Amino acid sequence: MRVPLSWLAEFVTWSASPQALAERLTLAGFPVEGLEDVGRLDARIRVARLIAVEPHPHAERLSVCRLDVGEGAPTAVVSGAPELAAGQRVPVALAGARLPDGREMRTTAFAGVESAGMLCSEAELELGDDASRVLVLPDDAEPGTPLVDIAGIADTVLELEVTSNRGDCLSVLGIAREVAAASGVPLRHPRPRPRETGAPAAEDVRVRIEAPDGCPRYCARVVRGVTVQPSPLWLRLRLRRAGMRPVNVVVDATNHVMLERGQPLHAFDLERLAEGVIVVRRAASGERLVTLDGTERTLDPADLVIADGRGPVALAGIMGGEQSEVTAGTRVLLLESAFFAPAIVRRTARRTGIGSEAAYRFERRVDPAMVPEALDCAAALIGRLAGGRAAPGIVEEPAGGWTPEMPAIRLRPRRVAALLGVDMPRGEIRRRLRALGAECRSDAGAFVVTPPSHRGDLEREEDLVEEVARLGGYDAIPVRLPEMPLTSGEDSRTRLTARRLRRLLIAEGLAEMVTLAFTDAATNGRLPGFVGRALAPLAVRNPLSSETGELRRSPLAGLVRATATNVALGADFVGAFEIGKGYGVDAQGVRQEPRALAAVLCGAWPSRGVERIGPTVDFADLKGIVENVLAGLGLQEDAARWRPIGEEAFLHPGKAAVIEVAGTAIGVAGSLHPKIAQACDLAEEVWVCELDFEILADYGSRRVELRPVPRFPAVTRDIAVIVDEAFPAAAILEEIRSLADARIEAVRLFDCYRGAPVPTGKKSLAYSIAYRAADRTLTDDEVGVVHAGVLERLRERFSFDLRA
Amino acid sequence: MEEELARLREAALAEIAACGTEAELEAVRVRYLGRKGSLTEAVRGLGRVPPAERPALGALVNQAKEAVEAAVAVAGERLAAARLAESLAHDRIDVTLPGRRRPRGHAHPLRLVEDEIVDVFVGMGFQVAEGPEVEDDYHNFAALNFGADHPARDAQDTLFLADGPDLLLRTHTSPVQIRYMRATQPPLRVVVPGTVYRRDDLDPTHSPMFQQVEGFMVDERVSFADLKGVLVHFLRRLFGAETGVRFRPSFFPFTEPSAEVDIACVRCAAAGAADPACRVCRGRQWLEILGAGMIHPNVLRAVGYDPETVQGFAFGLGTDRIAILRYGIEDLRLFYENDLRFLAQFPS
Ligand SMILES: [Zn+2]
Repeated sequence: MRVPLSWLAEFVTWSASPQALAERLTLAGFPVEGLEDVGRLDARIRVARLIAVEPHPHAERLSVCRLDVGEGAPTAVVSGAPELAAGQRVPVALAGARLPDGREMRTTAFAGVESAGMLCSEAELELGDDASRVLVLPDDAEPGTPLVDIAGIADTVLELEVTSNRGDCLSVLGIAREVAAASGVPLRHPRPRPRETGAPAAEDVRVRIEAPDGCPRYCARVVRGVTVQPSPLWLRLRLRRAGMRPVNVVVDATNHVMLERGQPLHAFDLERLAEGVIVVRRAASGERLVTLDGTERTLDPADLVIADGRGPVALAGIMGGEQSEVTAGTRVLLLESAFFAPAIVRRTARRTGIGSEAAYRFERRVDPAMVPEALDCAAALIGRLAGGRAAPGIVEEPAGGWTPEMPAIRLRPRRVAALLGVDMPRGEIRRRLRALGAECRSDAGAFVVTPPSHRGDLEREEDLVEEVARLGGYDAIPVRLPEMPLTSGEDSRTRLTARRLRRLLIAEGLAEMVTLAFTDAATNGRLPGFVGRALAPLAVRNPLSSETGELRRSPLAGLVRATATNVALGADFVGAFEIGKGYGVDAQGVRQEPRALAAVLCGAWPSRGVERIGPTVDFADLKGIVENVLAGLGLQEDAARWRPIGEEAFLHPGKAAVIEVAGTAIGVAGSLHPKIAQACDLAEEVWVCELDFEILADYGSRRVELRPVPRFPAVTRDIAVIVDEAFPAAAILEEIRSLADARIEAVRLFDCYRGAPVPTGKKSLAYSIAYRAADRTLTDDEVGVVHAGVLERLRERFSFDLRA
Repeated sequence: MEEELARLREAALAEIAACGTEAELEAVRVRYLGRKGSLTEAVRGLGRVPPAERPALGALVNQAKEAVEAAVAVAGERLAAARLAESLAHDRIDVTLPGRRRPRGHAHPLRLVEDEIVDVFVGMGFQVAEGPEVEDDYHNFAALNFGADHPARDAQDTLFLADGPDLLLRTHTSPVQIRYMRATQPPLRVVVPGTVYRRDDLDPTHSPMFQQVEGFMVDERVSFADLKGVLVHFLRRLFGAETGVRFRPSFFPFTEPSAEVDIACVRCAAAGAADPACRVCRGRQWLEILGAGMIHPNVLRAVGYDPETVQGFAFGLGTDRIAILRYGIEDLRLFYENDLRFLAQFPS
């Protein structure tokens, strides 16, 4: 909301700087976003009286104006503006004046005629938008007066935020009430009334409410003999500074009342309303209305409309219709002031997408008591500015008026103390509630409080507690630490696991990413990931774009996309991980949000020292990272089995593995399927893995089981085999481990060689076996026996050339 | 034999003295004292000497051996010292060559900040809870006292799911308040970090997805003064012991009284004066940091508590916003675009 301080000052007097006032309002719950000085014009921009306007002797389109600027001899100014006439008061920027846009005026010659300044348009003075003509000032403006000294030109505008529960403060009067309550000063609340003449309004207009739930109160006035013309400068300035565009004096007067008192009004051209009837009713299905913005709208039975004898003429509380619009030719007005139900206005405003100032206020509830008052103010103002004569009487439905009964709320002082944590004297509580305009009487140790009609937001005891606290300022409430039993806090298991995994992966050189949970349907279909592989995708009903059309099943959707972004930005190496969720619906129709640890590797490792670039990342890098993470969680070194994956939707079938621990798949790792990489514009091979977070969390919470540190030396024997290229290297490791001989301490592959003299299609694998006993030094003989057993088992099991 | 011995000894001592390197010295040692060395042979030759001569000759042999051994030791020390001196005098490496590094990983700034926030509350005895991101209208709105036609329920602001009329992506972490309180009796103090969603495009100041931390505390007497105490403590732990904190009245459907909490602009405070052109606070000197209030009686009722016997406070803050202030970031997109050149600036 924008409130010019000169306007506010008509309702309340405060003794503080604008900054201090802003601070006070902010601390009362109306955060001031800005304090804007406006109309601070250079003092050398003056009021001038046009003494004479003569054509320029040498230039066809220019005039030479002789001006009275209040001092000495007339001043001559050359102007190209139209519609200049002797006797007019106009602004002149004399030599030396600085215009709001920063230009400085100088004495200049135009085709041989010297000009001592410039006549200004409202646009040049930043007082309006019209740049086509010179601004004409009121006739009572004294020549020579600096424009800035004319009342209403210079001002300060408060820009403040009003929370959605405080519709009563969407007006100058509402803010003035808050200033008065917060400062302990009186509020001035003048109630202008129009002078009434002629035949009673009821002879011209009848009002019928057919939808009292949507409109419990409707008031109308008739104003005859208006002249629709532009508004005077002061009114145009006020509207503009309050954020509205001036239209004509009638519309501007109704907007002025709305901005001042919070009650939206509408002016109809009465002569264009059929049969002089106003019917407030629900729209019939399929009814049409062309609104003031020129749009034809098909109405919905939920919409509340104002209709005349023919059909709808306005969307109630939202926007008028074009056909009954006030135009330059309008002579008789019907002014409408009503209470429209917030929910109904909100629904129609949402449906039609019309966000008018009127709808904004009705949605937040207007003050029912303001309905006739606003009507009087508008009629009086129009009478003053547009020559209108108000017809006697307000045509009102229901006849006796309507004000809702405000609730009588019980407020217990001990409840105030309990909620706020501070004792407050009863007298102080009463004083603050009365400052708000509430009625407050004592009853059996408590207060019974009836809020004023404009405070529809006050419904229960806690609301009043807030008001009591608010008026004293929240700063007055002490800062105290709670007294509670000394129990320890605890992070969640999920987060503790995530923190541990984060440390492990960061140690592996990967960067953590947080990616959006959304993806497009195509990507989601291609990229099921691991934890979400059995889930059906969840689609967003109202996405802003197809890119956010579904929730991802795998965090890899985000990581792969981020990889593509980084590669496109020139990254040589992408090593990243995310601990995030997949989303979807399982076979039983239950929504699931399984967590996963996903990682991606792409490109070449960064240089490790004096080298141009490190080695290209490959499967072994990824596997090493996963193995380190598992080991870091306390898993035994040989607990995980890596099985070739075979067919898999999103991984290269020949370059990926399922990772199993104790017979359960815990994740997958491998090369991203080339089709997906291609779809993401990734030319390079992308290595990805996804592990089930919940399973990892289980490992992480296990106790560490220690083995004794060996006290006797180990004996190492090596073996080498030549095998087919397809032979899995782990088969020999697993075979040897399956002997389960306690003396076989460790088996390790230490060489994998292809090339001469190994025949093509074969590879040579070399393993080292460490033998050790926990309680003695093994003799050569004993090692020989065990080793022979190992060789025998391998020869039995495999048919390869074994070299011991 | 004696002369032979004397000759050997003299020759050995001369050769030792002539050694210029430790390798030469070792060769000389082996030639005289090794398993097949001349002096070793001489000891062995004693067996062929008549027994009567053995003691005298034996003593001579031993003397010669010891003399040579001593000379070797002395020369060894001399040569080692010379080698060390040589090394110290001439061996040089280029210490300015780059180190051989493994790549360094990085934590995401949002996670760093979230951990920081959670840790402060855990330190005050709060438990950490989490909840689903796909929520229903009841937990996200109705139970939190949002009226049936509250603007926040609008499809303009909320992302709904196609699976059911009621399904949505939670717009705040507050549904966890409802879930937790329904399952637990007071007293309780809980903090809830999590991801939330709004119907916004990703731009410098908006994101369809962002992070929040919710907190609440309920018992028989916890009051607004306690709320102030806990939040002031929290904000000063996060932003520094001198940080100015102020509470302003505000409005949320699920709290009453409600407050907006500001901290004094971190940039202006660091500069020691308010800067009218400050790009952090835009000259306002205060920064909105979180929303809070006493839990609304309708919310307490919705979870089965009796508002006449228990009361509590709740608060919610944007992790992204705190990260923005903490790191002086001006574009929210940096958090979700994951440019490694941005991420690499954060500590491991
Ligand atoms: Zn600042």
